[in-house]
Amino acid sequence: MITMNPPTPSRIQVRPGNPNEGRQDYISIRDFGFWYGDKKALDAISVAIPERQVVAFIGPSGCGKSTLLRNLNRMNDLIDGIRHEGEITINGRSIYDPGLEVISLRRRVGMVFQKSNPFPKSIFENVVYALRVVGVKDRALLEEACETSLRKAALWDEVKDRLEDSALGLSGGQMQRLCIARAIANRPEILLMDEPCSALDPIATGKIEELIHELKAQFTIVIVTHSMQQAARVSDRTAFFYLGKLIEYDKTEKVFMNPSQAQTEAYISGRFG
Amino acid sequence: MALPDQDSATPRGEPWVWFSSLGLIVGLVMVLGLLGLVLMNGLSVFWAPPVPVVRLDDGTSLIGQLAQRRIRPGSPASAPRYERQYQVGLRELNGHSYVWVDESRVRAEEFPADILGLERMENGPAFVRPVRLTRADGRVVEAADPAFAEALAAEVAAGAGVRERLTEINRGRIGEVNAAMEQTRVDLRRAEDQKTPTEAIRRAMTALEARYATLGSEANQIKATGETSKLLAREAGGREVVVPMAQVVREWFPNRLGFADRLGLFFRRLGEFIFGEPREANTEGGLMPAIFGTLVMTVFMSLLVTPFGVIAAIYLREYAQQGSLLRIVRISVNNLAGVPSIVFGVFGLGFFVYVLGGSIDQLFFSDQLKYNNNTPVFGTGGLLWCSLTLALMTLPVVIVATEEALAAVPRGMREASLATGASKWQTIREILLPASAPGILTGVILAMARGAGEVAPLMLVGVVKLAPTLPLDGTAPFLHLDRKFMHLGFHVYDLGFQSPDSDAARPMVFATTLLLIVLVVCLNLGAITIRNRLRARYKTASF
Amino acid sequence: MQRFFHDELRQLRDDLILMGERSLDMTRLVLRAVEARDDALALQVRGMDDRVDELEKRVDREIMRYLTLFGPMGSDVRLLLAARDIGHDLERIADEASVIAKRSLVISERGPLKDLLHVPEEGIIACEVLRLALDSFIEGDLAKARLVLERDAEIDALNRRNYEQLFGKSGDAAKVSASHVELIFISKALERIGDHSKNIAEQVIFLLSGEDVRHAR
Repeated sequence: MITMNPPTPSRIQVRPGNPNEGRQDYISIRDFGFWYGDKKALDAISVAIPERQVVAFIGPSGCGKSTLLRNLNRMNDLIDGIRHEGEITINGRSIYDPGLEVISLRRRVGMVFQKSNPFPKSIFENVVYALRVVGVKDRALLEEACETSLRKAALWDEVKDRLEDSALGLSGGQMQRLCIARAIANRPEILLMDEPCSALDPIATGKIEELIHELKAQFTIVIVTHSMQQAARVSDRTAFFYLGKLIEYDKTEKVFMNPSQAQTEAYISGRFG
Repeated sequence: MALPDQDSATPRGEPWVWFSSLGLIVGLVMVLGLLGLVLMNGLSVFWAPPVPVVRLDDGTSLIGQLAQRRIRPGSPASAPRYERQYQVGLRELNGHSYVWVDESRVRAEEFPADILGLERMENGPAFVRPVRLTRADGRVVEAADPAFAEALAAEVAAGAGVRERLTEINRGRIGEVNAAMEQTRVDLRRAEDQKTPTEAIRRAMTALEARYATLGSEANQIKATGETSKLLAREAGGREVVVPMAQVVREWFPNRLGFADRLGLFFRRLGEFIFGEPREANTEGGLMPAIFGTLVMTVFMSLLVTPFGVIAAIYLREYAQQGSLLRIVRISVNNLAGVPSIVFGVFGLGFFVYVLGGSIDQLFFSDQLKYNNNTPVFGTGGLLWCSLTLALMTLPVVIVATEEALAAVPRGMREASLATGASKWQTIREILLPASAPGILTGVILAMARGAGEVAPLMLVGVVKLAPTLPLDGTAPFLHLDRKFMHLGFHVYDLGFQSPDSDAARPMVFATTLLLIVLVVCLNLGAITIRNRLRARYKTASF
Repeated sequence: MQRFFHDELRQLRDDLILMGERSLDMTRLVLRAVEARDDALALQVRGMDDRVDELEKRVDREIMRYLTLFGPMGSDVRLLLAARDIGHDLERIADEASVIAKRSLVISERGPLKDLLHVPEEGIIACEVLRLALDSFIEGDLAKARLVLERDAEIDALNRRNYEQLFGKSGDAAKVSASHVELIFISKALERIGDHSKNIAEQVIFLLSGEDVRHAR
């Protein structure tokens, strides 16, 4: 981050740092290893993700970046024959703590997927789904949460007159923003994004990226992306993975301008493989 | 190596395209042929063609409606000889309704306008030349009188009224008295057994018996008034026959009808067939009880099989530990679909009727058993056991369809739900089941189609040739699970193989088959409509 | 759609403008120092150079950061490329001002000059041209940028006249006082400032129209 004392009152700060700088190791991954059956997918990963920042995971396909992301809300638990070692803590608490229900973990860690996957329900019901599952019945509360989430997801103005319409009638970009609204409706602390723009056109992608930029004021965001440009645009820190190993993790500018590892340099400059 | 000329090479394997399409064509032709045959034979029953007087070479003649024409068995193929079958009716005179006539013996066919066709309550139809009608009030109308047709129609209508009143007394009021007497008799026996006072019960019984006698005589009186009206007619041979008008259901002059009249008659007969009650050992009249029984049984079966099948499939797909044990279970379930249906019937009889039904009777209807000559309630065939047996038989279909529908729900939707913190059950209830509803309904449609057409197991667990009451009616508890009922499929079997007059039953077999097909198609169309609506609502996202 | 990172381009522009204003300030102040023989002012001007150098480094960092992270296209690319050159030219202008300040101090050390030749006039025009170049960038005014290209010749002419006046009068370099030699250096520096202003104008033309007018003659 560029530090300076502004000569004139600057309209914006470059990369606004968080006014109340949060924990630097809000999500802490320590010596984390992961196996699908006998296949080792991750090897001794250590990453500290600061609070209310955007961290991008990049790397070629099969490098383990998605696997790591899906471990942060234990979505990998759905798969048979998995095993892990090491530790992941969120705000100091282990996500593998036997006293922590995986359901309550997922309520604190929202997720947006590569393919937008709205439920075959109305837009309203999609957004408030997370509240419905915890038993919220108060209509006024649900409506308020719906509006708040859709506004945060920059979708409110586009859908406010058709909340009862099927969510499947939205465009691809709108669907993905709806999924983001759904993921933040129950006010999680962390938002995981697994290639959220890979199926979208540039305009929709731009909107989602703007949204990520807005959302990081409130959420800690971890995004997996195949697009290095995207990682460069939206993230504060970037982690480069290769073959299940963490090659480099640093501030995004450092990684893209002057990486310390030759492999990272080769990957970001397109001289890989 | 030289490559073959790529430009002129014809595509390889092209004949196989034709071959595979041929397979489809053969299949379609067979299905269409079946439908056509059933449609032709089934609908021709209701058509009233002109009826000739046929003069034969030996000087005799007959009046009859042409039923069919065929090559005489044993005649050479090069010079085939034909024979015709005429429906002559008047079974009480001839002992049969149909005669075969070698075509070479037919000298002439005339179509006199005065030939009268009659459908009767007993002894089948009749084709006669009327002479005179004695009306209920004693007036006599000659056949030559221009008012004859009108008077005849009036008498038929009056006869219908008489029959209606009789039915109302016999089935309605006398039926009620009978049921009350039955119950009173049970009460009496119980009272005797338990040494409680029987006086009141005996008095009630006497009152009921008196009422029974009154109703009986009332019925006889009505019957007697109807019998004064008679039609004197002559058959082809000149023999006279007297037809009581109370017996006549419908009359028509086949050689006087225009096309529109014939069409009207056709639809009236079709209507009676669908909405009427059966008569003459089911060979005539309508099929309402059978249609209704089939419908109620099929719907009830679907209501039973759907929750069971869906719950089982959810467990198999979503909760059970996937392993070799589960694979064996799955194979077994699939194989269950291939078990002959009669085996299910035997199981239904052995387990549902005797074990389950017997236990229910022991537990809840022990009074009934003890004081009513061991007459079982649930310990015998009935609607519940039929539906359960067929539900069991169609269970694999629903399980397999539901499992596949669940598996077809996009993984992303499941993950999205879990990622918001929903539990597995919430995911199933809120997301998976709605999304797989069309697939589940497909399974239910298949189950219904199979269940509606099944006969063999039903014969063992509760379908009868003639049921006096419907399984669903206006008296509490409205749906009578213990009642025996009639079924179209069984009706076809009964007509085709158990009928005393096979010639008379033959057209009805086709008509009933047609009705069964229509019913199954209607049930399926209904289910498909629901499914398509669901599909439109729950179509999965794609872009 | 306005993207969040477009704000950084505005920041870059602001920094460049600030740099330009500072360079212009330095030129004006140093000219006043020369005319008024104000050594304190000259010293102050020399001290101002560091800030401009720092600004140049900041602008360069911003350009590099933007190029690396945000994949610019179209006019954004031209802005970044032009900004790099403009920043460089402005830094050079500030350097030249600093050189003038140094020469001015030398002159005062050796004793004041009565005749400043055409230097004050040349300075006024140099400031005008630089102002014009800066305005063309700030306002995105193509006409002003083209005007800079024309007016640069005036400075060149005055510089030549200064030279000729000094050497042409005596015809003998030995007779020229050392102070006057310093004055020639100042004149030369002002001529360089004019050249840098011209370069800036050329970059502005490139930025606005995409046309490359360098070395056109």
